[in-house]
Amino acid sequence: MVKSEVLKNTESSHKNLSYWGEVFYRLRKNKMAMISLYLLVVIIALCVFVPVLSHYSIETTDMQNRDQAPSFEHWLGTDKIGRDLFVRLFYAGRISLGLALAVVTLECVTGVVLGSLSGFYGGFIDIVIMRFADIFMSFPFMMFCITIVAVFGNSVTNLIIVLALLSWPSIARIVRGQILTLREMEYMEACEALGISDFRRIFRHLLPNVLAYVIVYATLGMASVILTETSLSFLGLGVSPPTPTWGNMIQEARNTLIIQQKWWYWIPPGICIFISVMCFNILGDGMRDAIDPKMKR
Amino acid sequence: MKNYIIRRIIQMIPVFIGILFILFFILEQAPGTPVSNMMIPKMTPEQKAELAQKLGLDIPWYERFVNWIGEALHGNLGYSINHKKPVVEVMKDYVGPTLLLSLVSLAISVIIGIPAGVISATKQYSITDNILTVVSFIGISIPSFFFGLLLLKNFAVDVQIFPLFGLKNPLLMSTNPVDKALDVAWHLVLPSIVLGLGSTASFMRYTRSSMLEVIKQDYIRTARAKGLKEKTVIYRHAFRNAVIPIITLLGFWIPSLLSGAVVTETIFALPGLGKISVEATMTRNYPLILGINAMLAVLTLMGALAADILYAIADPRIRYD
Amino acid sequence: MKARKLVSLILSVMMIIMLFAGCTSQTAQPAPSEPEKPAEQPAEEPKADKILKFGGTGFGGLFNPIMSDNTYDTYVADILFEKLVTNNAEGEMVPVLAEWTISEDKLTYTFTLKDGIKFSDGSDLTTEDVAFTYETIAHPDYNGPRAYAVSSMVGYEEFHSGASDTFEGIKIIDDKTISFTFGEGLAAPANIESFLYGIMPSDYYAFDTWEDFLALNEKPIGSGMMVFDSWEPKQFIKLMKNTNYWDPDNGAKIDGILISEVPDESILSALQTEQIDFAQISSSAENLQAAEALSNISIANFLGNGYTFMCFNTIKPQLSDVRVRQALMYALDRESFIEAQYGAGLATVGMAPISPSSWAFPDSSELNAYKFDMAKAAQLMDEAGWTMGNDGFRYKDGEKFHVNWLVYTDSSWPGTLSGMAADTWKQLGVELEIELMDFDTVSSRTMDAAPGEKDFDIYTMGFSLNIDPDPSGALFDDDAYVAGGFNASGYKNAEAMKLVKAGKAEFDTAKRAEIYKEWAKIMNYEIPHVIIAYRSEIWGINNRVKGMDLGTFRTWDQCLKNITIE
Repeated sequence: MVKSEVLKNTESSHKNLSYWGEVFYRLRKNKMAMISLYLLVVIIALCVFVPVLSHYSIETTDMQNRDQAPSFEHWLGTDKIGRDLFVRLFYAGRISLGLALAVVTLECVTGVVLGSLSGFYGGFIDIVIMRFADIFMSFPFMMFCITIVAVFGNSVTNLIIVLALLSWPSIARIVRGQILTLREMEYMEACEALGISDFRRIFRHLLPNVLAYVIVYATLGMASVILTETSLSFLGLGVSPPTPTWGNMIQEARNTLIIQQKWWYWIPPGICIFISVMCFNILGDGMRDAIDPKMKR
Repeated sequence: MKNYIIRRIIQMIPVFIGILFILFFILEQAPGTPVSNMMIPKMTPEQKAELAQKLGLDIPWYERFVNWIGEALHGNLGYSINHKKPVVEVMKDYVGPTLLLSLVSLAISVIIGIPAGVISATKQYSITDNILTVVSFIGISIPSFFFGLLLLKNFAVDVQIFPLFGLKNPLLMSTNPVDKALDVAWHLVLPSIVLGLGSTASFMRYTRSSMLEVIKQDYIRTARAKGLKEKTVIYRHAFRNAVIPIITLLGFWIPSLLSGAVVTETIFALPGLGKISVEATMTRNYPLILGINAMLAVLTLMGALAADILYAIADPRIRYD
Repeated sequence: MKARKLVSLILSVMMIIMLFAGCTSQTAQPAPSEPEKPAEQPAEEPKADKILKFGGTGFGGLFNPIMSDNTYDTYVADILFEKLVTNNAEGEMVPVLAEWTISEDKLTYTFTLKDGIKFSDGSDLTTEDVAFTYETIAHPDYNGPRAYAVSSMVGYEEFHSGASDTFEGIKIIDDKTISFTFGEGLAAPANIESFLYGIMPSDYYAFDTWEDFLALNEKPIGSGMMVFDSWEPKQFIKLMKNTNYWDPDNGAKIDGILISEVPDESILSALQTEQIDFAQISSSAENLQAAEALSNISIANFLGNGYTFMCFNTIKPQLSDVRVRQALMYALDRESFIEAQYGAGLATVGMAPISPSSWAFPDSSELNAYKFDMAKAAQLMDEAGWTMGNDGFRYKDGEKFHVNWLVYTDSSWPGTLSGMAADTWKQLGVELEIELMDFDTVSSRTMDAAPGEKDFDIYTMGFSLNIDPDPSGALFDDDAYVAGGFNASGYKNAEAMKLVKAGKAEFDTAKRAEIYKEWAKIMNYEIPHVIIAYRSEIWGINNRVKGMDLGTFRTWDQCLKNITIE
């Protein structure tokens, strides 16, 4: 009974809602995805508004109040050289999430542009782009990260470039595949007949149809970049202190005493990583179902 | 089919050379040489320079690239600077544990992930499905190093069931191969759980959605209409078709497991490729870095090819020419 | 059907495991041409509970006294091979295989071997073997890190370049006597440290090509109280008691040693669960506290022979003024840094570029500790002409005070120190840019680069030292300011160099101490390199192990003959 009601609603929505409105409508039906979305909004809001919430700065050291458990003064305690961990946690969030966003944006832009060129023109361009995609896809991911980060230094910028460089091929392949199918459709023939330029045909008429896939991919990509940053930090190749990131903050858990007695060092970044990765995964999954109820992988 | 495979292999060659070229180029940009980490104040700059020259570091990189390719064609991957022996021999020492760990975790993910996915799909929206879904999301979301440390703390320190480090008990006096194998297996339990967790969860997700897709198909409805037992419908008809896309994944999975092994090997002190490749990078041991990366690249390319071939075998509808 | 598949999968996994278990063992092969085996003693079966278990991370596989290039391989080489001399707990040289005399001109060292020394394969250790060892270091193909041990001996250049077949400075007088002669003008008390490398059997290690020699790295044979049993790369090294040890009264009282690869974060857990008997614990307040909580281990805590330092690139205009360097030091709270990083008592503030464990360490009352003093720092900056601008940074001639600091990520202390500097130097008006990189990159941008191309303002690093305090060739040597040299600061001081040279050649310890005191005062004022801290080492030792009295100059392999296991 409930099911048929939902079905009815969906059908009625067809008339009133745009494509994206409909997607969002379906997404709202997915409770887990919506909870994830809200949680992410909360975390992002905390990262953005942390300077309003606390008057400490991430650099200020305070030797009198070092290594302290959470208190009214310091909501999440202080670290070994007396820096406020609440402030550092959410500044770290800015870096971790910002890094993930930058990587995903960069890889999606690269992937979409190269993928659509490859799919649209085919022939020689396609071969060259796809061989490059093969090359970057066949690099052993972790080993290659290690090599480049060690070689060029562990700055945030370098990390963004490396991770984007290694992950654009998958999105390029997805986009290319989609474009190959869409290119054969009748409306594209119409476009050609009307003499619309290649540029407009790709970016006005083909890409919007691929966008949904890209967004799903990007959401899932956010989760994996956050995790990768953590792994690289573990190997000493992530962004390093004093710049805080969730990945390097949770490294404190490697010390026996800290993991047993000083929970405020590692549980907060642990929770932040866990929740944000999980939420991005669930949200991405939910969006996939919402965008194309048939497309389930 | 044969032509297809040959064509694919030929296409791999430029990709492979491209990988090596880029790697060589990047390593060339690296500041530091294998002698920069020798911090012996008594060593004079001349002695350092002489060592660098003996290591062949004074030749331009493109010449070294060509030389290396030439050597590699003869099955010789150069000379590992830290180990003072051929790269091939060094890799022989370390490739076993990494492959073993990867294959065991792959086996775990297949054995647990696929059945769990099937159960989850056949009982969609049930409590079992919800629990499995939540567990799988947790599995994908937990940083592996953190999970590893927790396991070690709980099962190797607090309750001492499993060993803390290594792949073998060096004080095991028995020469019986069964004892030896059991010893290795015992050491591998925690590492393979850590490495397998993420992929188990992914396999489960994939199987679940693939099954859901298939169950909706007309022929399943027909099978049910014929009055076949539900078990037969699910396992004989649906599962067989749902598993095809999963097989494709297997090919792509091995390289990603090998990459993931870096962190696992570091936590559990396993003597694998991941561990030495980090070390090789830190000490600028170029020949070894190249050797390892070349081998992994070949594995990745082979994995992709194997995936396509498996796919063609499993699904007769696909034809290559 | 499903069950059958499952079973077959499990079976195949088991088979793969067995396959690897069977084929990865690398047991040392006995020497190919073993001279007649000494009568097999019905030696009692070694017991697992009489094996000493050591844990650490990073051993490589070069188990050879002249090739080993990391601490752990060197431990193995030091146990398997005996040296001509070694140091005692006070840091003085004492005989092991040989007594020695020094000639009048202090250039020739004559060694007389003890009687009855045999390698573990039963062959005699003679002066042939000693000469072989040292000539191998000088061999044209030698690619290990010990060339400095022989490079100041007479005739090294000729022999090393292949121009001469004989090494003039090494003379075999008879079976038991051998002499080494150093080049004219190179007499120095530190020369005795050339004889701290194990002696290799010349028959066994004789080689046609250098590859032949290297191939024996994993199958070492020496004269020590342990013999090499087996090893698994990156897992463990197993040494067993040498039942044919030439000096049975001083032989090992344990049945063997097991050195396991244990990652840093598992060291304490491994000590707690007794999977290892002893290990070095990285020095930090947390680790010491956690180790003290373990009832089954005792802790050895002693001063390490080394220091951590910060180098200023004095060629850079903003750092060429000594007042600026001093201001930066006054604005760095090193006492708090030590408390945060190591915990009180585990390190002290560095002043002189000499380890406090050395006899040459000067009275610190005459040295400046640069106690944290922001007012003084600001005053010095003002005096040097760097005045505070409106934006909170200091300026001189329109130039903003900006420094970059290369921090390597392999250890945690540079991160902590630079994190503190980021705060206090900013208050001083310094724009600090911290650049993170790995160790090799730091050393290539600082030491390896040619003068003028050194691309840094500040870098930090830790050094361990030799027993002899002679600083020449290292951080403070004017001549080491070259590409690949250790002095990256670009600071030169003829007066200080004169003291360094005088100290190196002086054989009277009291006079030497006086010279180094003068020198330390100059360096403490000029600070091209600042000594940040002297650190302590912490070792955890299981209560069942007795006789391991570690110290600054006493490593565990030197305690070996006294060690017993209860």
